[in-house]
Order: sequence, then C-alpha cells, then structure tokens
Amino acid sequence: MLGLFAKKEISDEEAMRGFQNGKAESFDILLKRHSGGLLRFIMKMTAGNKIHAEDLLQEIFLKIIERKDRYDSKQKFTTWLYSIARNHCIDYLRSESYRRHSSLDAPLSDTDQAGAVVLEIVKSEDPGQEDKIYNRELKELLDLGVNSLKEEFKEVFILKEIEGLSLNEIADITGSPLGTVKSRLRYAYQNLRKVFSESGYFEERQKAKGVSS
Amino acid sequence: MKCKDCTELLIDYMHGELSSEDKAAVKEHLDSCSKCLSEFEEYSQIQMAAQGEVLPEVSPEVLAKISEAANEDLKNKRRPFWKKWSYSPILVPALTTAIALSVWFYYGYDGVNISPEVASKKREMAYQTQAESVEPESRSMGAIVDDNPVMDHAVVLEQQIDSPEEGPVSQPAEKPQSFAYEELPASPADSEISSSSQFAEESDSANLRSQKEPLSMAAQKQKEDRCDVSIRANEAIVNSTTPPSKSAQKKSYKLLAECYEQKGDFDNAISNYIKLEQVAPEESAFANSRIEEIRNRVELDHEQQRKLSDPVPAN
Repeated sequence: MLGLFAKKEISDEEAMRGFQNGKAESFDILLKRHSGGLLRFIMKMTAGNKIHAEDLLQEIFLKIIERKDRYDSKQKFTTWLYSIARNHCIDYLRSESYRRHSSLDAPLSDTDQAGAVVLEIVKSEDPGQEDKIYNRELKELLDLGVNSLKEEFKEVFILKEIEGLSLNEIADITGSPLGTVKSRLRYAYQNLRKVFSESGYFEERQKAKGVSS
Repeated sequence: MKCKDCTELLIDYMHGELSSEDKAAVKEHLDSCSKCLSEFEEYSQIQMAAQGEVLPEVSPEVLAKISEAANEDLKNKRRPFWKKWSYSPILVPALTTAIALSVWFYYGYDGVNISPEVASKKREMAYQTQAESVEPESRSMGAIVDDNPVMDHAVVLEQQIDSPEEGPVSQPAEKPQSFAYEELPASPADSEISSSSQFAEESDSANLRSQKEPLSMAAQKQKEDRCDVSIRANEAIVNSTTPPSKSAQKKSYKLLAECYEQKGDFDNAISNYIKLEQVAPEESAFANSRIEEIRNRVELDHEQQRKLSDPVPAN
C-alpha cells in the first residue's frame, strides 16, 4: 500500500541534473544506487581487497563530484559513471602503487595452478554442506577465471555479466566498436570455460546432477 | 551448420544478439549436437555464476566521506553565477540598472556630497580656476562658452544676493559638466531671474546664451573685487567675432566702465562710459553722470597729489 504513495523514483540522469543544480540529496541518491555495483566492479577489475577497493571508490566519486558540470544529461549516467571508473581502474593498474601492491599479494597468475587448488577444495568438501560450498567454490572459481583474463576481455565480461550493462553501453565506455565488444566477450567466455573445465567444476556439477536425479 | 560456426555464435545466441535466421540455425544445430549443447550449457553456467555475484556493502564511513565531499563541493563552488537561473532573467538587469542609477544619482545629479566648509573652499577654488580659464581664443562660438555652470549661478548672485557666501551657490559650484542651465533644478532664485531677466526678451537666444554666461560671471567677479577678470571677460565679449546683442554690449560696457573706475583706470572708464552711451542712449544720463563724477574725482586726485608732492606747481 505504501508503495502507491511513494514518490516515483527519479532517474539517474534527473538525479545528476539535480546535483548539478546544487542538490546534495540528489547526489546521495546516486551514491546509494551505484556505490555497491561500482565497488564490485573495482574489486573485480583490480582483484584487490575490499578496503583497497573502497579507497579507489572514493577517488572515483571525488572525480564524479569534481567533473559534475561536464556531465551531459543526454548521455546515460551509468555510461559516464563507469567510463570514469574504468579509466581510473586502468590508470591504477598501470601505476607504481598497484605493482608494489600486487607483488606483495603474489596473486595466482597461473590458471593451471589455480584450477588445481580449486579442485582440491572441491574434492575435500563435506557433501552435507553442498549448496553452501557450491556457492563459495563457484565464487572463488569465477574470481580466479576473471583474474586470469586479459584486461580488455575482463572489463567487457565484468560490465556485461556482473554489472549488467548493455553491449552498446560497454562500447561507449571502452571506446570500442560494438563488434569488438562482442568478440571480446566471446573470448572471455572461452577462456573462462577453460578455467572452469580445468578445475573440474563442470564434471562435479554433472555428477551432482546425476546423483540428485 | 558446422560445430565450428555454431561455437562462434553461441555467446551472441545466449545474449539474444543474433538475427532470427542465425538464431534458428543455431537452435537447430544445438538440438542435434550434444557437444555444442554442452558447451552452450557451460557458458550458461558461467553466466549464471557471474549474475549471482552479490553486491558488496560499502562501509558507512566511506559513504559518509563521499557524501560529505559532495556537500563541501556544493558549498564551496556553487554553479558559476552566470549559470544560475535566478540571476539571468531578473537579477542581472535589475542589478545593472540599480548600479547605473546609483552612480548617476551620486555623481551626475547632485554632485558629490561634501560638508559646507569643504564646499565653500571648493567653490572659491572653482571660481579661481574657472576665471583663469576664460580664454576667448579657445572657445568655439567666438564668444566665451564655458562649460562650467558656475557662471549660471553668478547670475543668481548678481541679481539676488548681496553676500555671495550663502544660499544655493555651494551646490552648483561643484556640479560638473552641466552645460544647459535650463536643466537646473528650479530654485526660486532661478525662476525670478529668468522672468525678470532682460535677456529673455532678446531674439537671438543662442548668441545670447553664449554671452550671458561670461557676462554674468564678469558681474560676479566685479562683485568680488576681481576686476581684472571681469575686464578680461567683458573685453572678450565686446571684441568677439560674432557681434554681441545690444543688451549684452550695454551690460559689458557698463561693467567695463565700472571696473575700470573701480580700478582707478579713469581713462578707460570714461571711454567705456562713452561707448555705453553710444550703444544705449537710454543710459546716457547715467553714463554722463558717471563721467562727470570721474572727472571730479580726477580733479580731486590731482588736487591731492599736488598737495602731497607739494612744492611742484601744476602747469
């Protein structure tokens, strides 16, 4: 019932215009709406921990605030937002601070090795907690797979499948033709499938299906 | 369709990006090829995994910091003022007009407001400088046309006031660039003058105006015992290339004569009284009486001088 009286939600573009006209509450709407997704995007793009990703999130929003007058409300807000975020992440990945950071973290860059580790986890799990383990294992596997992708495949896959943007928007964000975006998405899937196969994930799923049916 | 072609299209198929033709072809192939079907299913599982990613929660402190930054930004640098809607249509013209009006009121209308003491000092200075600047050669109309309104008010002084130190003089003395005396705020003194002024009856008004000002200034100068200036001004009028009106000539000669008389230059005084007589026969009685008096005074003076420088007898 309350929903009937609730004010119709304003669009991102309207909110951004409000912010441009000096309304702080409009900005808070945008912040509330997009901070989670943006944080997830940053975490996936940089494969960093949450605290570090939040630093980047803050930097990106400061850029948004700083450049608010440059935003043209004819453009979709998410396109503008993710363009800034994507460029910021790429700059960060090429920066000295990232290299220092990543060398300390010693990420698993070798997919075979990563797959083996995951396979180990899968095999050792207690079948009673199947669902929970399945979700955790899937998440870790996906992270491993995404991290193994080359940057240009990775960004397209994250934007399309995790953040749910349209292919046209991704073309605008990455500054590439739509055809390129599509083929990059295809390569991303092919590489991920390889990672998943090597981890034995599909086999496990097949087996689980056979048992339950 | 071959498996290789199908594999190429599977991702687009999954995202609904294929033409209806290609879509039908892929569907047909998948129905018959278990290898391609399992590949498609694996892609779908990956997609589901990606779409099942939960949203991380941003810590409240970070959100508060960002929100605060936005607030600060809005406080510090509001939109540039020319972009503010409230300024453009109403406030800008209103403010501009207000500023223009205030400047006009302040400088253009009443002159600078200053205390009476300063005003009187300034007035004296103004008289001096104006008097010095009266140079007929540099004037356009041949006669003296001075922009300074001091002279307008000299008329007031001449006709109305015995003591020139008081009254409306102080204000106009500082009023810059008010060329046309008709535009002056009508004070009682002004209206009295214009109605009683003999110049008003004259037809040649442009000429008149050009001469009225120096003339009246000269009168004022005379009142202030500044005969030199008065003489200079009147000479200029009388000798100007455009012949002054009769009344102006009359007044000039009269003033000249009086000035010379006052100065003690009796020869010039007498000659000017004679000229006055020529120009204005109706003044001849007055002129003659003055001439008579001057001659008497000359006589007297000679008498006195003779007495002072005694032993030398007069020839």
